Amino acid sequence: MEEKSRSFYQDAFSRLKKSPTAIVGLIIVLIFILIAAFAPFIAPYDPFEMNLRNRQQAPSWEHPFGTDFFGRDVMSRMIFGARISLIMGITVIAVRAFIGIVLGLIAGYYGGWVETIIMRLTDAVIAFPGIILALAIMAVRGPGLFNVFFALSIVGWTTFCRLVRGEVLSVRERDYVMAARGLGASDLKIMLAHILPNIMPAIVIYATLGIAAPIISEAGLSFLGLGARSDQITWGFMISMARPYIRYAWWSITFPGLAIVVVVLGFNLLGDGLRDALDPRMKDV
Amino acid sequence: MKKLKLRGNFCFMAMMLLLVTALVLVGQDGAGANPRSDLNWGRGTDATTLDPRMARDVYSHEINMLLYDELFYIDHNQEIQLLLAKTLEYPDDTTYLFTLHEGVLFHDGEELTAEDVVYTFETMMDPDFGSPHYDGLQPIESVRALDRYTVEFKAKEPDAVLIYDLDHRIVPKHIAPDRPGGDFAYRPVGTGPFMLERWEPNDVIVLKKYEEYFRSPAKLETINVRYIPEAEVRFTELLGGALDLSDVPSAELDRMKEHPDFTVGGYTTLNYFPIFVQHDHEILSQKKVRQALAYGVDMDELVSVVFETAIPATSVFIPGTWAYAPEVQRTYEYNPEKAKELLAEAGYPDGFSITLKTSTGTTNVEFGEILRFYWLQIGVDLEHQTSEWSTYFSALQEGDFELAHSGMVNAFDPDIFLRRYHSGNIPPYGANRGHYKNPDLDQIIDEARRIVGDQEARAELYREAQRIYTEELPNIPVRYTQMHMVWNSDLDFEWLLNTQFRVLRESYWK
Repeated sequence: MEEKSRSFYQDAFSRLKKSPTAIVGLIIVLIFILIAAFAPFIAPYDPFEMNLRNRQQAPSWEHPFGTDFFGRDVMSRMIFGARISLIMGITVIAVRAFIGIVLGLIAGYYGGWVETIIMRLTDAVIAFPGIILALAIMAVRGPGLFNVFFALSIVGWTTFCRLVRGEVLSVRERDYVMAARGLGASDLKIMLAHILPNIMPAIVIYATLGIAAPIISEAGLSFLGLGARSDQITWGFMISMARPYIRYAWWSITFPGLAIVVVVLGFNLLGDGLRDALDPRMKDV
Repeated sequence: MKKLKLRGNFCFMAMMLLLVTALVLVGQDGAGANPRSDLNWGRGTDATTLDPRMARDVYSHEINMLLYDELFYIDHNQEIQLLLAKTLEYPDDTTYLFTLHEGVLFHDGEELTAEDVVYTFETMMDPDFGSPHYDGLQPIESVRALDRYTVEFKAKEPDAVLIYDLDHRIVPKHIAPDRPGGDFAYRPVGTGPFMLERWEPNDVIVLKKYEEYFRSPAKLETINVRYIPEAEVRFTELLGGALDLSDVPSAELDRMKEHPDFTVGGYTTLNYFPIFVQHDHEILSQKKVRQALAYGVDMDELVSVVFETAIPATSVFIPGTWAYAPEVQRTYEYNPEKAKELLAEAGYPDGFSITLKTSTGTTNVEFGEILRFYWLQIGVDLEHQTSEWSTYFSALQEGDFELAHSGMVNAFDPDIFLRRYHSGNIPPYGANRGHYKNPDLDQIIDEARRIVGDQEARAELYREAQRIYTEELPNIPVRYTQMHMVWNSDLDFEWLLNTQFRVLRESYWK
């Protein structure tokens, strides 16, 4: 079992290495993670330092991405902005995955009325367009980054729930599950030790592909003035503040926009590559 | 014969064809020469109420000045222009006698009489009605209809300023409620040159020409007042022809002045935009804290960056007006060291946290951001909260703020702004929203109002008021404003101080 599982992931990694797009995606994601982690060492300027006499300067050697309305260095702000964007993307997906896995495991494993209740609840949440529901939650709880995190976390778990339930259904009657049950293992043990590891690849793929969505949603909500405050930096907030000046200072809106595009692209390429690499059904190919 | 007839028919048809073509051509030509009769006007903020007795914000006033008439108004030369009133007499120094024009009809066809005028003022003077104009009408002893067309106002004592508070729009007694609420604010009936066709809040206000207007009716048939919150969008729509009249971002003013298709109008207002301070707040009630906040920001720099057309303010008195005396005012040059010292003396060496409320909008966000940057350097942690205009404005009116930034408009007389610092005018009955109390200032305000016909003596008192104001800083001065409006050059329009959109009655397409 141990041996087999390791070789599966080893196999997967060797397949991942062969896919150039996945490697590009991985590199992009790693670069952004490094940038976020070491922001204070990389950023050439203090991202909050205003210089009102040096406002809206075009890109130059001194300020590669120019300066914004307040004379702040756009590049430094983008470097710090990577933190909130990445943390938002990863934690929101983690929370969504956690809720979805718990509910999906229970629904798929027990079936019956438990499954009916959970899946109808899921259908009800899916029926709302995600961003509209998030906006409604923001309207009740008020603006702020934590509320953005909260709103995005509790609207997106439904797909995980459906995915996990479907996967559980496909493995729950397998021999090794039956065997574990015959040996008298508890329900919890069967779910966590025997079912979950076997459906993990699907979850990892979906989570990687899904990280882009909360990053875009956070940017959107911050753009609408519901997210970051002025003592926080996010790409969406930078775009929102720079938008009125797009005709005089294109750089302060274009570069944060590009950052979103590139990081989203990176996660999508990586996710695609992981799907090809991790899919157990691909093994025979 | 038959052939001839056929030829005749052919000729007839050919001639008809020619005629029709000619008519179509003429018709088209005619349509091209026929000027438009509608107007698309873009604004960044919607009205809050169209009941003028309840309206205290500029955005409602701009619409109400087309729907209603006052007894008189103040024109761009600061002079009184009679409107509903035919004559204004002062039999003694506490009596104002207005004779109304006869045959002025409300939009529903009823005639306006002295009773409507009395009713309008009586409801505003009723504390239960809750009018934001209540405090300004306090000096009135009585308002009576002497006959169908004569109204008499009696003041409690001689009053130099009361006349400006009689400038109110008259509502019909038979329709307007004497209690707040109801749908009058959404279905207004006035005597003005335009009637309301429909108001879809946060979308559009459609005004229609009122044919029976007692002076010459308007030349425009309809006015669409569109609510477009984004300045950039208003500007683009103006350039594209979807709007005929709008403000533009100040960065575009110079370009628009050169533009052959547009006219730019502008003037320096009688408006003052400070940072309102809540004096019930333990920290902000201390003079040294307020002075530290003033020393802690380079206001000249801030104003020039965020409000390009504005002038940095020094006090509640407007430069160029008769009471303005800069030589007695204390000024606060940017000095963060001095600010820190004052904070330490006041007992806050490590600073404190405070919130600023404003309405939404790019310039407000920028203002908050820069202010936060400056004050952080003296240890004051500013949190900036924005909300849409009507939410912000009701919080301001209720005194629900620590710091707030918006303006006071139309200081026809220094008292109009200064009285907002009188301890007798604390909400709900007055506009002293910061709950400021200063017996010395109260005394000057009261005394100056009682002096009728001696501007020198009032100016002398106001010198002392300016000294107190700039020393005590009940509010932190930010800016005096200029107003600009841009319109399609084919529209005959003038943008003047005080009269503003009133001119739309006479506007037409050339």
